[in-house]
Amino acid sequence: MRTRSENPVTRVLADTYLALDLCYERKVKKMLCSVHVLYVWLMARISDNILGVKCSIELVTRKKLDKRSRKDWALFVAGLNQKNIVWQPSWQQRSKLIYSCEGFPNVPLM
Amino acid sequence: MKKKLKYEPIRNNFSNLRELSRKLKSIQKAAFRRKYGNLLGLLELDIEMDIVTALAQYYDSSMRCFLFQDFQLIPTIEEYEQILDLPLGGGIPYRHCEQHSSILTISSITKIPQDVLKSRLISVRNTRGFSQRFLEAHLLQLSIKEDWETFIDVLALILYGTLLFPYSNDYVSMLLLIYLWL
Repeated sequence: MRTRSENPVTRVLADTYLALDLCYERKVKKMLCSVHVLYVWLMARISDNILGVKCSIELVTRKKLDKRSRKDWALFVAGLNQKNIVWQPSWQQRSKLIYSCEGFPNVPLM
Repeated sequence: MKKKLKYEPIRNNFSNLRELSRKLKSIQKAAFRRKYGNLLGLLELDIEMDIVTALAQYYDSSMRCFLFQDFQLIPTIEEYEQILDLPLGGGIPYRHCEQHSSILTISSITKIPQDVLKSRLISVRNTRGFSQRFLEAHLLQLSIKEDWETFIDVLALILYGTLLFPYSNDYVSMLLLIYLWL
């Protein structure tokens, strides 16, 4: 007997937050979450300046990054700003965006 | 600048799984995708771990987001849905559940006899599960027998335990397989 069970998406995301929190609080060193999904998410956000293409998820999974040193990656991430980040990757087909709450921008969502 | 966070992801070895997954023909890959989303795409990723480590330094626990010099960014459910290609619409939503799948269920899915499963049970930090290598060996047997239907389910089971919900090296916990089968 087999039943199609729960969708894992929310749990994968919740685990990501939990793992980042635990690492932040220095409770654990191990990152117990799906680094794969987080990595694709990050790639989609930086794809314009790193892969030189409009990124689709398939492209991210196929395209390899150039080898850089740990220090170079740290500098790269430190240099990210609102101009070179991809705010809405092309594969995200979403028509509605919340960017303010009654005229107040930067309202935390959680 | 705050002190650098120590951060080490679980480093599972995916080379065997990649090799085994290439035995699937395109029609079987499509069947896998319909059932389990984009797991095979994720399996092919070569992750540059240093950039993930660099990113993690910017996570702020109180704000629950990544704080960069002039903007904030967080991954959302919608993005994760698309990355995993598992739309939530119509599915059963998340329920907190710390329950192991039963040996009986795992046995009926993997076609490994219950007594064999029982003898191969290992436990890691309050969970029970199996070694990745043991399940991979079974996967190889299934490919030799050309039982692709079972192969697809066992491959998904291993990917859930190692790629979606990593818990320890070379270990597939039964705890989260509830997401596959109740």
